[in-house]
Amino acid sequence: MQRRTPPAVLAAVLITAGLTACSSADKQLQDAQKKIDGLKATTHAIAEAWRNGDVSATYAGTAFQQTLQLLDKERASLNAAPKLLLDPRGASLSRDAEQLSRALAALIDDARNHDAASAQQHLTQVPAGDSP
Amino acid sequence: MSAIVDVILGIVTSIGGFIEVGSISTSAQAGAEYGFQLLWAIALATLMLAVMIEMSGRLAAVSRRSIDAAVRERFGISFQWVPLAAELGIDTLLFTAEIGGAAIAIKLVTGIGFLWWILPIGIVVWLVLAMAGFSIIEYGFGLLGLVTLCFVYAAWRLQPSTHDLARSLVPSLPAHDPVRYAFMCVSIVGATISPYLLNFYASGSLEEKLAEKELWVNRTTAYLGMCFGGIVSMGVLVTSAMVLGPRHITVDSYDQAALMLVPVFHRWAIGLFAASLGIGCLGAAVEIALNAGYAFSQAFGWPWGANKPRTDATRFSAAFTLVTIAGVIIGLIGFDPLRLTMISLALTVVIMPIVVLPFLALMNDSRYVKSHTSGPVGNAFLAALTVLGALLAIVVVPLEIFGG
Repeated sequence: MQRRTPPAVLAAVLITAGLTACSSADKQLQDAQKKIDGLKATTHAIAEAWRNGDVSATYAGTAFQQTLQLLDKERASLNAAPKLLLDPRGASLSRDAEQLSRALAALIDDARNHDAASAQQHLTQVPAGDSP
Repeated sequence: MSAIVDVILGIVTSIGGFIEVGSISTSAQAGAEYGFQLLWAIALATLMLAVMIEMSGRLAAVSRRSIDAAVRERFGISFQWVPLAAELGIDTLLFTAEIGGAAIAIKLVTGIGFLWWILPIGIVVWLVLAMAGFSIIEYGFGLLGLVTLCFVYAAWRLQPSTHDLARSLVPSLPAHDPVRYAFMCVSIVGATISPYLLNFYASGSLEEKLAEKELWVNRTTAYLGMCFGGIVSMGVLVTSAMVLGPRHITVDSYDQAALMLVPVFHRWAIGLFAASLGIGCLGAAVEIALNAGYAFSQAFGWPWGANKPRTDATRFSAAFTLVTIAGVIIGLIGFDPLRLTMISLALTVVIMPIVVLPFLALMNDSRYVKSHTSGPVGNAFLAALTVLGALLAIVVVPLEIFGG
C-alpha cells in the first residue's frame, strides 16, 4: 500500500527547496560580484604599476589580456544562468562586466602602443569595486 | 668540518629549494583571500614535512634502502603497485604544473604565450637529467632558488603586526567561505608535503652516501632546512595578504600574484617574481622527473642513480624520460596551470595515506631502522593527520571543483 506524503511535509520540502535555490542564487551573485570586483582592482593595480614605471608595457599587456580572459569566464558563467540575469543585481553585474571588458580591450591596445596616457583615460571607465 | 659544511649547504639549499609552483600559488591565494589566517596551516604542514624528511633520511642511512625499495621488499611488488601508481600519477600532474609554472615565469618577462615555452622547458629538464650529477641538481637549483628570499624581505619591509602573525599560528575558523578555506588548507598541505619529496630525499641520501653515524647531519638539515624553507612560504602569504588582500585582488592567475612584490621592489618586482617562480618550478620539475626514475627503478630492482653514467642505468633514464614526455604532452593540451596546480595539490593529499602509512610501518620495523625506530606519539600524530587530511580532501575537492 502506498503512503501519501502529508501536505505539510510537502510544503516544508518545497519551501526549503525554494529557500535553498534563492540562497544558492544569492551566493552565486555574491561570488560573481566578488570576482568582478577583484578583476577591476587587478586592472587598476596593473595600470597604476605601469604608470609609475614599475612594470613594462609588455607585462601590462599580457596581464590585461589574462584579466580579460578571467573576465570572459566569469561572464560566461553568469550568462549560462538566465535566472541570475533576471535578477536586477545580476543584470547590473552583467553590464558592469561588459563595461570592464571594453575597457580592458582598450587597455590591451594601449599597452601594445606603449601609450600610458591613453591608458589613464580608459582606466576612468573602470569604477572601483562594490565588494566590502 | 666536512659534516658542518654539509649541514650548512643542506640547510641553504633546502631554503632555496622549498618554493615551487604549489607553495607560491597556495600561499598567494591564501594570503589574498584570508589574510594571515592560514599561516598555521603552513606551519603545521612544514613541521609534518620536516618530521617525514628526517625519517626518510634515517631510513636510507640505516637500512641503505630508499623508501620505494624498502616498501617493495617489505610488502611485495603486488602491494607496491598501488602506492607506486598513485605516486607516479600525481608526480606526472605535478611535473606538468611545474613546467607550466616555469613557462608562465618566462611569459611574465617576455609576453610570449606560455604554451610556446612548454616544449623548450621539457627539453631543458631532460638535458639536465641526462647530463648532470645529483650534487649539481640539488645544490645548483637550491642555491639559485635563494632568490625566493625576496618574499621574506618583502614581508619584512611591509611591517606586519607581530601580534597578528603570532595569533595566526593558532588554527581558527574563517569568517567567510568555509569550503574554500578547507580547500586552501588541503592545498597548502599538498603543496608542502609532496610524496615525491620523501623518496627523493631518501634516494638523495643514498646518492650522497649518508652513513648511520651521520644521522645528526640528517636531523639538523631536515629540521632547520625545512623550517627555514617554510618561512619563505609564509613570506609569500604575508606579502600577498598585505598587498593584494586590502585591494580585494584574488589570485586567479600568476600575473595577479606577481603584483604582490611591486610596492617593495618596484621595477624589479616582476623580474624577481618570475625568477622565483621559474627557478623554483624548474628545480622541482627536475626533482619530480628524477624521482620518477628512482621510483620505477627501485620498485623493479633496476640499476639507478643520477651519479651513474646514464648508459649504466638505461631503464632509469627511460623512466624519467617517459615522465618528462608525458608531462610535456599534458602541458601542451593547454590546461590552466594555476587550476591544474591546485587540483594536483588537493589530489596529493588524497593519496598521501597510501604513500605515508607503509612508510610509517617501515619506520617501526627494526629490521630496517635497527634501534632508530620512530616513537609511537610521532607515528600516531603523522598517521592521524595524514588520514584526516585525506578525508578532508575527499570532501572538499569535489565541492570546490563542482561548486559548493
